[in-house]
Amino acid sequence: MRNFKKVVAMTLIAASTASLAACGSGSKDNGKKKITLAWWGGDSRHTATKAAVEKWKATHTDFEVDLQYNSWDGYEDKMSTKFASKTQADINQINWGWLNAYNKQANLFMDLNDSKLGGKLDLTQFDEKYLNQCKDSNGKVVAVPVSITGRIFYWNMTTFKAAGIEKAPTTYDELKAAGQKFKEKLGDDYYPLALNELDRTILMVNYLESKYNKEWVTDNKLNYNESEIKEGYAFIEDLENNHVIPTLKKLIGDGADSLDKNSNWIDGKYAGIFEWDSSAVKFQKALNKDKKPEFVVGDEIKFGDNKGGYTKISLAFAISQNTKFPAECADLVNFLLNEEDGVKEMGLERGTPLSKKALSTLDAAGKLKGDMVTEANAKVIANSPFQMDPTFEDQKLKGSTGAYYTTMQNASYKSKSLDDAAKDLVTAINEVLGSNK
Amino acid sequence: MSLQARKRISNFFKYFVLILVGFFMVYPLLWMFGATFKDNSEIFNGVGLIAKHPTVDGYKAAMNSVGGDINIWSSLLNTYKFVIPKVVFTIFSATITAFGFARFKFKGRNLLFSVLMATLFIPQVVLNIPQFVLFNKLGWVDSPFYLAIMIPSLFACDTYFVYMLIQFLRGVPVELEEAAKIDGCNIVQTLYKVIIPMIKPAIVSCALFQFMWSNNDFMGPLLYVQTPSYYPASLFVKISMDADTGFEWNRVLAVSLISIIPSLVIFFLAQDSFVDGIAAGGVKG
Repeated sequence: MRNFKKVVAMTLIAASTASLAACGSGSKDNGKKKITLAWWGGDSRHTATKAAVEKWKATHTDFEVDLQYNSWDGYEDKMSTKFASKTQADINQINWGWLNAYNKQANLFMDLNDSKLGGKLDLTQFDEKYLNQCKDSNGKVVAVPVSITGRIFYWNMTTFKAAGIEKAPTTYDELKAAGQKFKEKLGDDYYPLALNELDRTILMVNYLESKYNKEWVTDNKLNYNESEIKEGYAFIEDLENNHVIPTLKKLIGDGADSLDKNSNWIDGKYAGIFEWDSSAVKFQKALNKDKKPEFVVGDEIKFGDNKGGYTKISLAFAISQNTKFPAECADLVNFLLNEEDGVKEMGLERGTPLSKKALSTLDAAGKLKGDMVTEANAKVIANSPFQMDPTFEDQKLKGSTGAYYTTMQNASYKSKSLDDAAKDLVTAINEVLGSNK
Repeated sequence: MSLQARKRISNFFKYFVLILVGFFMVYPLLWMFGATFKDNSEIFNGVGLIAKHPTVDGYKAAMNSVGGDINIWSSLLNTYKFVIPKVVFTIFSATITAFGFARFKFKGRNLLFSVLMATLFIPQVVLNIPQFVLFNKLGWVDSPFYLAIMIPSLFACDTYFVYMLIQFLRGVPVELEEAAKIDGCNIVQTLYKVIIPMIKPAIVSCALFQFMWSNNDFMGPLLYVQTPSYYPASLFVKISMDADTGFEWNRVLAVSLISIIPSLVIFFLAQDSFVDGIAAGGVKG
């Protein structure tokens, strides 16, 4: 029995020394003040951000910056845990929707006009329109928008040319004509455009907005009635009927979870996509190089008398309420977004910057010319009069069992009438809007 | 037809079916190996094993460090920095706990045992936030010793293993322990000299399960490791996957392949005892 007790005692001692040892080294003191910066991204973004932060540290030698970078996968799980326990990093790269999803209840981020920031963050570089979207329920700007994104057409001109079309479509009629031509010249497997359920919904909204010239949702109210939305579903059906887009049955049958992994896109059988300007590179890279694909940014397609479509803030930086060094955090964010040295390092890694200073700096350095993302971004900004409502991307709508998916599938499989599809969508949207009050 | 010929034919069919089914089972793994030599368009364009335009770019890129902080080797090392202690701690604590519950009568045993069993049914998601808050208060989050991941296994927090060992212990006759007692063993000696050798197959399967689970664990390290240079392999595999601009799948597959090699080696080494343990546990549990 005594031996047993000894073993237990030894174990406990081992455990407590281990935890003590960790306390000592966990805070990494070496006399420097520490700021944490968290973001998600890929390899090149990590490297660029690190280089930019190094430059900032060169002028702030008493500061240590802890970089916590991750992939997008898992980032939200991690951040939501931290938000719930209020242990978020000092500076957080956030998805714009999180302001609505997390900050609304928890008040996590600092007012960026707060005097504690010492005026170090120059918000005048950002358009009022975008800053307004980063306000909390008290009307304070709590995040600084880094870039915006919207949907735009991209075309694989190699296939278009094979079908005898030299110019990418810019009107609804041209688009329908292209569908017919693809079918006649190249065969049933070739389509000028491919849209999954979410793409269809976004294009449908785009279509309705250009037809009726009113925003999708304003002040928590859906501005379209069932019969108007039914026209949207009819529009999508029309695209299917004219061989412009493959039916969902065909698309799902391809067995790929996104178009960049779909062999029909890779091989050029689907010759167009309607995608975020920021993800174009992914789709371009996916194309089979053996076929020498000519991948171009499309122009706006006129569906009505007005412009439709929306932009959304793709990501933003927010400073934690709990930070010990608000002024330095503001200074670092400003350095990354507005100052020449920082901006040059950051480049276009977070999309085409919204900051006017950053844009002119990058333009002067010749980094914008010939960049496809920048070209697409400029077109998106020019053609999208509206801004996305945060509830548009609510999981109940956008998720893979959400209303966008189910209604589009019901319509495409013809398992429900278009009236019912429109009705289901309106019900689902109103439910989400109701719970957002 | 002679008996021998008949036997040959039946063997042929047996092996034919086994090889055929086995091939289908192992195909994904072989495909993964083949795909590390393909480029993106080829990966999504067919299910063939052999790359048409083989490239070793995936392996070359797999060796690159990410952000200059971490590469595949240091991430593997990081993984074993917490996996090995975790396995040792689990065996130690789960055996003692199981022994206690299976062999001693003490006040509140039944209640405690049902509490223990009840924790089996709590999904990890529910625990994430409270656990994170607790470990954060204790200063264990982002510790270079992975305390938040490791310490719980020192206190038999992996209920499943305790349960498995208890079930196994039920099949071990009490008479053996009585005999040991008569021969002058105290409790620790009984545990060490009699019980542990008897339940060794079960302990080995606990160790292997724990090894595999902690190796593959993504959520634990995701929450409790913040500094990229401490990232284990499960995070490293994901870290270069950028959903926006796309990434090279052959690199991701090469990294995954390299990171599962140690687990495969360990599994093959321990295969005999492992299969033993599962079979024995199945009969007696």
